[in-house]
Amino acid sequence: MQDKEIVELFLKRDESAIQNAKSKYDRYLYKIAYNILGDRGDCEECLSDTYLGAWNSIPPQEPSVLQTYLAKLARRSAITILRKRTRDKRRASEYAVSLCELEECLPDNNTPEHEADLKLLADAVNGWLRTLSPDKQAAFIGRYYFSDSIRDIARHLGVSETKVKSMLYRLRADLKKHLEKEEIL
Amino acid sequence: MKRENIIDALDMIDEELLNNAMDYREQKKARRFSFSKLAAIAAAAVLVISATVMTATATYRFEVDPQDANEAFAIAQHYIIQNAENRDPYNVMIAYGLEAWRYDESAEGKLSGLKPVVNLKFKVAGYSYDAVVDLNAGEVIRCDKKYDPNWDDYTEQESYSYAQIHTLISAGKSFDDIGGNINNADAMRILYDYFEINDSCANRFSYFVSEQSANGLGDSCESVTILLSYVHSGYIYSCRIDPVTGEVSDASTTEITDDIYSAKKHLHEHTDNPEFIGFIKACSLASEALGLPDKRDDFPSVLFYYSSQGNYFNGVDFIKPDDVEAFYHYTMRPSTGSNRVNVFLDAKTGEILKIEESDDNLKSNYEGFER
Repeated sequence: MQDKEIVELFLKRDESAIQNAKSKYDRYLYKIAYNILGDRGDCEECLSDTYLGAWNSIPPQEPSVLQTYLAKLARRSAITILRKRTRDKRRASEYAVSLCELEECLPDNNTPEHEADLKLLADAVNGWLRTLSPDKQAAFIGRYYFSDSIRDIARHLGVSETKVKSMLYRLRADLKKHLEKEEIL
Repeated sequence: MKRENIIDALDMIDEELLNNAMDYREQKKARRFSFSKLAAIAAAAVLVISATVMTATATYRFEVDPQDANEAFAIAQHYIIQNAENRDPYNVMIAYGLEAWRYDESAEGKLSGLKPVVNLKFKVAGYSYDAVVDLNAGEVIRCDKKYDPNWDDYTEQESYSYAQIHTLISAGKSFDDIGGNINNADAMRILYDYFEINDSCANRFSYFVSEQSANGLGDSCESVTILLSYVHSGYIYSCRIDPVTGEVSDASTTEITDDIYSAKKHLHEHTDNPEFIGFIKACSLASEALGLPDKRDDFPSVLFYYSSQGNYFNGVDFIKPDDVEAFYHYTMRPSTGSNRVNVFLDAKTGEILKIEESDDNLKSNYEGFER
């Protein structure tokens, strides 16, 4: 089924939208989730969250590219699960518990200043990404957005793993330079 | 800057950029497919070889994409090396009777990943391995190793890859056996260095083939030159290596232009002793003796070995006559569902030494199999 038709089903609140999205993108989304979480059980939870997220957000959203939209949701959900998992692990020791208790006295990250900083950073990264050639964009996004392995990126781009590693190394250095120039670092 | 910040910022990458990245990847994939079709055919040929003789149906075997099988094999190779089961990558690279198929997903019940879990069976240096590789995690789930007492009895492992045929050509000898100053691993490194091949034997299916030049068989190491060919990503890298000095000569790089057989032919063109008939001619002679069309391009129905000493091959008793220096042994399956035919040829004269038809109980496996 075409993406457009699946989106139509979502918009009509037809539950088969989820099934169709699942049969088309489940493996793809699983891969994204697995790259971040590395655990089958967590991946299943992540995918459930992703489809639920899609169901809850379309409408009002009407994604032009469903694959990217679902990928974003899956990534976000996986990061949330990962953060929760890390937090749970931290809480295992008394020392960590005491730190967590203290953390509650501190302001959280959801302040307007923090949001503004994030926006600036995101704009800088987006601007920098636009200056890159398509293969470099794909490598950077593959590695740092979709958490693809070096091997997978090499396969996707049809180059050696060594080349991918050196490309990413140069890209990181270039990003750092760019962020320093933009006075973000 | 905190790590969390960069994670959140990356979450705000423009959708347009994400779409572009994915488009680019798809385009590359499409292009790569057309360019690497030949290499894929070569890889598939290896699986075809395996598929012809194993106990299940051929279609079952083909459920594994060759690329996945290659990747799984590379992971298994790496695992074996890492676990010190066999430190010599040369040996690990030569897999005897490699077969690969998708693991029984229904039995496992939880294999919903992007890539299959692949079950590989192969033999290395006298041991049989049964490995299960999870391509999602890139790791070996299980790897059982069992000593194979019938290492020299290939009746159950008819599916020789090209590599093993050429190992058999050297009559079971390894580089270590022939003396000199270099061993298998050295030879491999010399070839890697010479051609600047970057392969830590952990990426894709690849193998070495080795051959002592015909005039070196049975001679002292001083007169032996080693022909090493390395098949990798659609290319064959060949060179001769002097086992005493390590010196490289006759280096060449050849693209595999039609299929894996060109690799086979390529090697035989290097068997330069006019005293011995070449493989191509020997194959024609065997086919002629059987009244068959020349099957040399119809591998895997023709399996062949070359030996200067062996007496027992592929379940067939064969005693080498004293006046025969070396012989070719072919196993042919003339047509679907037919019995196997073994042919022994004098490597010098082409004279038929023995022809034997055998009911190998495997013919039913060929039914329905289409090459």
